[in-house]
Amino acid sequence: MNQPLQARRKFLKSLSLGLGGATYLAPMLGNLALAAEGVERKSPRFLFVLEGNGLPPAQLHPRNLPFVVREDRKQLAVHPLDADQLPTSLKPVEKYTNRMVVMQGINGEVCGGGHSTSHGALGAYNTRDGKVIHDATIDNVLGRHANTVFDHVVLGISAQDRDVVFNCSATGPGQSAATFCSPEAAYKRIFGPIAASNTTREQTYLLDYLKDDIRVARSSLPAAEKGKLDLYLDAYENIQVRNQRVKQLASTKKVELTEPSDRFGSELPEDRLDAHFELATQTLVAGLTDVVTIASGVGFRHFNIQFSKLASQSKHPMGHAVIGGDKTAIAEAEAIRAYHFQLIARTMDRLAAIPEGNGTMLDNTVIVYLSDAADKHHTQCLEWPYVLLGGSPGLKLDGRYIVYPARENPGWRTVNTIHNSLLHAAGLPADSFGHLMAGVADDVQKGPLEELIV
Amino acid sequence: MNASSTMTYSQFTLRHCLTTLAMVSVFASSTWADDAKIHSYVTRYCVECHGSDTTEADLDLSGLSGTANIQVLFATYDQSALHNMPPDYAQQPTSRERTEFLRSLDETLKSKGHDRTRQPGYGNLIEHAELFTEPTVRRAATPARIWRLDVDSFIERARAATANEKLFYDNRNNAKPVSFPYQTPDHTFLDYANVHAFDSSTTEMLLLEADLVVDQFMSRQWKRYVRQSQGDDQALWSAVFTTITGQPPEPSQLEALLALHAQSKQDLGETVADRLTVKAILLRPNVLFRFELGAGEPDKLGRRYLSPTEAATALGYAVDVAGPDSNLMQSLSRVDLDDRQQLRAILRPYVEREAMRARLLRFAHEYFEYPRAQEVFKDADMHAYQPQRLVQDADQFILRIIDEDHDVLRQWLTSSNYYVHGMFNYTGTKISPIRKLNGYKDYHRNYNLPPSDVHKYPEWVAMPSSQRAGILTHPAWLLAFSDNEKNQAIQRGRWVTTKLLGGMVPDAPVEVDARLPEDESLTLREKMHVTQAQQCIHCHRHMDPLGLPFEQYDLFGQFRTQEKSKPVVTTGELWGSKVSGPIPYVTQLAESRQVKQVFLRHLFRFFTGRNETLDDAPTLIDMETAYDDSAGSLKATVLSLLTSDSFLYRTDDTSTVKSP
Repeated sequence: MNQPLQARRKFLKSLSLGLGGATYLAPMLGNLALAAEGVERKSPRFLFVLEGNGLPPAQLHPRNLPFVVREDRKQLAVHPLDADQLPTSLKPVEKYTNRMVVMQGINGEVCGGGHSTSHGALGAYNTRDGKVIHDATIDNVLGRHANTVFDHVVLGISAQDRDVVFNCSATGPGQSAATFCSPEAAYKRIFGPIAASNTTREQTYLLDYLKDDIRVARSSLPAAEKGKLDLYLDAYENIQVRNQRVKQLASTKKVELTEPSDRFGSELPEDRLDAHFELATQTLVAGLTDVVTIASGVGFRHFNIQFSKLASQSKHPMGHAVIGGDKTAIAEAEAIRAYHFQLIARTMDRLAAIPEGNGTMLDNTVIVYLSDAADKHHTQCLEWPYVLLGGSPGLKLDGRYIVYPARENPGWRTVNTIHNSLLHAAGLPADSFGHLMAGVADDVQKGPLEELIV
Repeated sequence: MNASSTMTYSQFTLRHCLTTLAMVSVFASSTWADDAKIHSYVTRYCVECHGSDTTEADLDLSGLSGTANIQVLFATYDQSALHNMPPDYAQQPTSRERTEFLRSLDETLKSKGHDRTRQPGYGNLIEHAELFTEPTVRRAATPARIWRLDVDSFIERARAATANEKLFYDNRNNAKPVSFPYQTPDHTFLDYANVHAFDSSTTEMLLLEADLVVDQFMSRQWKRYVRQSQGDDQALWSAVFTTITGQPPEPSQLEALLALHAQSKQDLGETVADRLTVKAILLRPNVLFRFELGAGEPDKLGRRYLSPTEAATALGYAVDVAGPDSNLMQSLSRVDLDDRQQLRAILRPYVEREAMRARLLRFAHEYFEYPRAQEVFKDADMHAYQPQRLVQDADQFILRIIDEDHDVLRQWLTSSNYYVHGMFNYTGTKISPIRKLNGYKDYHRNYNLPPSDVHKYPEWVAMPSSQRAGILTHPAWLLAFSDNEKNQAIQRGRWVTTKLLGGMVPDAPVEVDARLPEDESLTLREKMHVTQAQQCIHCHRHMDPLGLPFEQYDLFGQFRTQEKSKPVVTTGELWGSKVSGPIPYVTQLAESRQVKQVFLRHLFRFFTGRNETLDDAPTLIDMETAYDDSAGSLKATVLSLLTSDSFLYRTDDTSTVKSP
């Protein structure tokens, strides 16, 4: 092992010690060195869509079925989904009814609660009000397994006017991934090397100079401190390798690049979200990553978004009004949710139109929709509604409505099992992901969901 | 990861890490002497309860010296360092025995790659009594290091270079660069030298954010540099380099820069080349990091003084977030660091400046943590909840005591002279300037002031001394340790334990469902009975009784006598004795020498960006002397620290400081 790598790892290790005792080693260069294109797909792509402020179970409930409250759910219930009976929220994806599974009643108490579970929603752990990131989140774990140019791409919108926030995705303990809230900045980052050839050449000069400069500075440091500059050096090397890979990919595969539309620079959340879905779709289609996360107002302070075209109030007061049964607020919340599914449907249409293997890209793409606040505005994560759409050889996404029994009833399951199922679908048959609850049997929180995996 | 593997993800990670650790194997080994010391101590003080025959808590420590179980080593270290073990009723080791045992355990942990006592949040694990005991040899020094620039310092540097005071400023949002995130754990000082660097993610952000700075530089400053250089490329780039880095370039540095410019100009044109060369300077390691390596001949203990430039930089950033000014650079280039009296004379004017006032306020922010009140969300809009104004009030309270600079800690902990925003009873956008200056309707309630006592403009108010005493009873601090529905008595107690008493409480185990009952008929104190469970009380006895006296205040910081229609109970426990309520409690804390010393330890950490070690004992002793001799002057104490061996000397490694 070379000296820089040793020092960098030692520094990373020292970081993780201060953040809870676990160890994180970045799998950066290894991933970048490997190519995945041209190889038969072994695992699906994933698009995670998180919408803040809770997802009340009733908003996913088919109209033809009696709604059973959580406390009264004593056993597993599985129903076929009927396109004509889908609730308002899901109407935009009705043509994909047979490629969808709606899940209710999964227990998420391991993630704590509050206005948001932050990184816990994708990490299956309690972040204590967003303060502690225990480990990598599922999107990153799935993404780095895929060995694509980008491990995973995280996009989002926030009530705070920032280009980048850190709210839901993590690459390791204490290491939040950046959520790009500016579609323009995200576009530049992902497609910059293809979109403008000078950008890469300019960056090459810059990075070559900096790498030399860092090496000189590094030589004067004591061994214990070299790791800091090695990390910095590695970062530039990674960016250069990645840029080259993007260009290589563009030279071997036709990457259809749509110029950023006006929506990319818009201040309206509706437009920015639209732009992010467009960007996510392009990135997946180009093969630059296999995992994209879209975080729509996820995390405390980010969730109070005002969808001005769709609602009369921002999402925080709306959340309270929904809890209070305010019909206008419920209708507006459903309209916003339906808008998300409209964008999901557009992505699915696009993927379904692109042949891949014996089918289309949609046959190898799983869309996971959930709220970081589980079932309601102030959640305790007693139940966590999920919608899975798309296709994967390892998953049964076949038009079912699955209601799991409440805690302590036979057959109750925790959110860990959803993550486990996704890992199975990706060819990573882990028995356990995230933290486990003390005193809860293994068959409740370990292994995949039988109802989901093939 | 093998696709057919069935191991868990965490198992995979662990195995991967262990393999890597085995490959790295760069860690030092613990010695036979350490093993012998551990064995001797454990035999004498531990195995009676935790031996092979009597495994209380299912724990056998008889083989501790050779164990590979890191968690057992950590737990033993923590429980011993926190004086939880041996229990009170058992025979106690001397302070020296405990220190030696902990030192050996620490060496063993280091030999296994776990150097926790350097990490933020673990500073209190160092034996307190030894830190204030004069050692045989004074050998304080800081390991040679580089220290990532604080985000505020980077902003100042960018603003200075671009002559744009508004750069990275947004009055609605925190618009600070995200490429300089703080990764220190909760409740610790943000800017620690051994924590921060630029990884792939932050470097990407840095590239984006550097464009903002370069854009501003090119539009506001570039023409001036071009004009002044009169066509001389060397002069041009030398000047730009000096402005951005604060140092003139070495010949080789200038040569590399000119080569970069020439090559990129030929390929991409002059405009692009100009821009990317400026960006290259901005992203140099010497701009993003402070270098503190030491220079010259080491003394007999192997310590080197900071070079004049390094000393000016280290001291400059200590007294001003913007770093050293040219006068300080000049003065430090002439001074002999052995002449501490002269050094103090140079620095004395700096500690009186506004910039130092801001530094001390930041220390108070991070130490007391009251600005967190602004992050605490309350659904109820009762009493026109305005935490940011309460924090501003608290700032004024803190600053006034800094300005008076007399008996600072005691004043911070006990003064009942509060600054209170004014109040008015109008709404409407037209009067927003008044609103900005004043409080909101009902603002006075957080302080229990009658409306007649709160006037239109802010003023100092002498609060009833039976109700308020110091920052810990200020609404801002109380709100900072509350949540949407209740006070956080446990977190308040934890704050007192760690920040005033020098103790530590491990994080709650991840599998613990640390939630209180939801029965709304119960008071918080009653709900907290669940922490009396055997598996909880070991840690909660270091928190609950130290936080419960603050139940005197409701979740909006209001003084109260009733809770749930019952008389509010405000008792707690300090050093084994009962305290009746918050006022006698904080008064007792303020009178304690140990509390003062723990406070000084935190002051040390803030200004040095690291935890204290036993070698720093002389520095802490001198700080205490300076504090006492100056009748509690914070500035005199900081001056003592800034002119200490800990601050001015560098070594290659703390563990390798030589014997004289």
